[in-house]
Amino acid sequence: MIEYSPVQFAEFGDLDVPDVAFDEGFFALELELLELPCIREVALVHTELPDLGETLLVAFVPLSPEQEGSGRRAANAACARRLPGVFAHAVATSDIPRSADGEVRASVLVDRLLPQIARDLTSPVEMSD
Amino acid sequence: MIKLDDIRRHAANRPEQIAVVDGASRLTWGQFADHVDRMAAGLSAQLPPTRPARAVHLADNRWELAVAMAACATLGISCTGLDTEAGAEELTGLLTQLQPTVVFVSTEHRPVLDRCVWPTGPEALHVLLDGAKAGAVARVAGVGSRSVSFGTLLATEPLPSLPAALPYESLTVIPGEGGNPRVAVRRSAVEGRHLVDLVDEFGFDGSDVHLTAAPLAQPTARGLARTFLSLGGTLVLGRYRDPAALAALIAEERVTTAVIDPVALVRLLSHPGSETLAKSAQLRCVIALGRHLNRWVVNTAWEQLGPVLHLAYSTPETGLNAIMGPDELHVAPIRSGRMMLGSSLVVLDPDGLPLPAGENGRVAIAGYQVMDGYLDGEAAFTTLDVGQGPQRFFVTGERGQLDAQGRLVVTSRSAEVPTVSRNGAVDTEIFRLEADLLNLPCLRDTAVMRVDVPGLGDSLVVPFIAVAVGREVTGYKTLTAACNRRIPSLPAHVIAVDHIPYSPTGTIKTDELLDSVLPIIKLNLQLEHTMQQEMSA
Repeated sequence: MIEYSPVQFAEFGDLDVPDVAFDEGFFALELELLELPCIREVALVHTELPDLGETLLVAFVPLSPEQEGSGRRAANAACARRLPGVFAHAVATSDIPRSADGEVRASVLVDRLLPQIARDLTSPVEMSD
Repeated sequence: MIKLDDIRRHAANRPEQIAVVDGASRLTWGQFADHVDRMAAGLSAQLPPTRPARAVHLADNRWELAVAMAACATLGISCTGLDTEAGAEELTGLLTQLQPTVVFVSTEHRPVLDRCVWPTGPEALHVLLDGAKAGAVARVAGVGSRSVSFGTLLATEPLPSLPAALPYESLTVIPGEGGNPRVAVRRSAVEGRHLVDLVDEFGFDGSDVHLTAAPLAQPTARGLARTFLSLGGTLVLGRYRDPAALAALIAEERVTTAVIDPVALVRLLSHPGSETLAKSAQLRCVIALGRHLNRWVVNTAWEQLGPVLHLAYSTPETGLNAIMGPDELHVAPIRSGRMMLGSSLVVLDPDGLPLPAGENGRVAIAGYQVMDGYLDGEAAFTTLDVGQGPQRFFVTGERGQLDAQGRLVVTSRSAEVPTVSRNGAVDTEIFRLEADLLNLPCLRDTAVMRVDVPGLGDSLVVPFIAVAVGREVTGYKTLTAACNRRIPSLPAHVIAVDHIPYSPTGTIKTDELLDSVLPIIKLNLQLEHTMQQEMSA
């Protein structure tokens, strides 16, 4: 039989976050992206970008240059399925900066990708996506 | 790390067998015992009087570090690993918390250490692991700390009997978001129980050759290195960031077990050198932290390494708690694991009550590996009885569920979505700069890249193709002016090129481009610097 002692759970941090649906969608999207076998590495970052506002940035390492397009389509489809209300942008990169335990260095990643995002948003490739 | 008594026991049984491999350096058990004996004596003689005595290390994996860690374990001094990629600010915060009496550092990481100033810094002893082979104790210029080389300590005569070990203390750094790391403290030894559980779970033994391809600062890597040395196996340290060298090391050293950090594992599997390891190598178990690894890694590891990959779930606060074996990895969701011996897990609802299987909540873990608390304050613990008497559970920041098969599935790595805060002004100007450059008629093509590399720092690199041969100067002047007008806070390095490489879908191949232009930019900067020096002279 399972017994428990009453605890003051509030001291562990508030679980009633402002947007539970977004949080659940974000983490479900992250898991879905990790399950994609058509990309070598992936990182999902939530940030604010100029002109775009709230953005989901999906950085991925394609299996090969020829498979970059399929990786981008898979990532965009997952974003549209899980969080259709948030602007999402998938960018191919050769490397995702990480700490020793594998955690993504998100700030460094966005710094690195920002010029390519700006370019993508004005290019025919982005329009075709 | 392993203590001198255990090393002596192995040295007596197998004095000529290799204990530690680091490139061309090979320590037999006899040499390892001698080095640790001398190191412990040297440290004991030089140890500052401050208590509790604590050591930290800021160095990549090397045999000298293994000796230093074993000497510290022998003397009862905690030896905490610091992230070698952390900046001076983050390290200063950690050193202020840890107040180390001894700092083991390599030449490569000494400059960043010298920029760190912490209250007890002047009393600390710095031990330089490489570089000068021997020398007297000296003062570190500008810092006031005493500095001694590893070679000097190693030249110390062993003591007839070592001093009594200090009270046990083990400290583990927890990387914090936004550069606010914390430190987990354990005040009772768990190494013996951990060894027994790992042997029960995996069947490790003294014939294993274990590769540590992750920083020894990482708790799982350190724990497994200690386990294999305690069993009398061979510990292989290597340059794990180079995938070709790592693949060669696995085959040449006949590695049977390995712990590989996630970045090194992805690079290894992406490298052609790993394609034949399933047939040519002796690997039987590879452990990697699984929180950030994806399906491609699981599938490719099976193909290239064989059925050996185990993804581990561990936290610095709770230790190595769950693991997923290679067979089950193919059918289980990513980020899942089975609880290991000695760990209990519950999923809690918002009121702190245990949830049944299949329901999502906060993950809480109990067991002998769980820390006693944080160095700087209280931690979130709760006492629950889940059928084994009251147990103290650490409430992690992660959410997950126990599925119908009894596996832990981590569904989110924090309570809420982390948002990366940005410098909006700089980001806006980078967007504007891209638009500006598209409208310049004097360029055929250009690429803006933001880099942060040694020698250049945080800066823009802007290669361009001029509109015609002989028009490079115009392009250079125009681009430099555009960059300086838009983003004066970032230095811009503008350079003419013949070709800008693109992927089939139009993404700039930044690695290829940077490889071709960075050496030229660095050379130009050096020439400029030399000219300025000559002019000022």
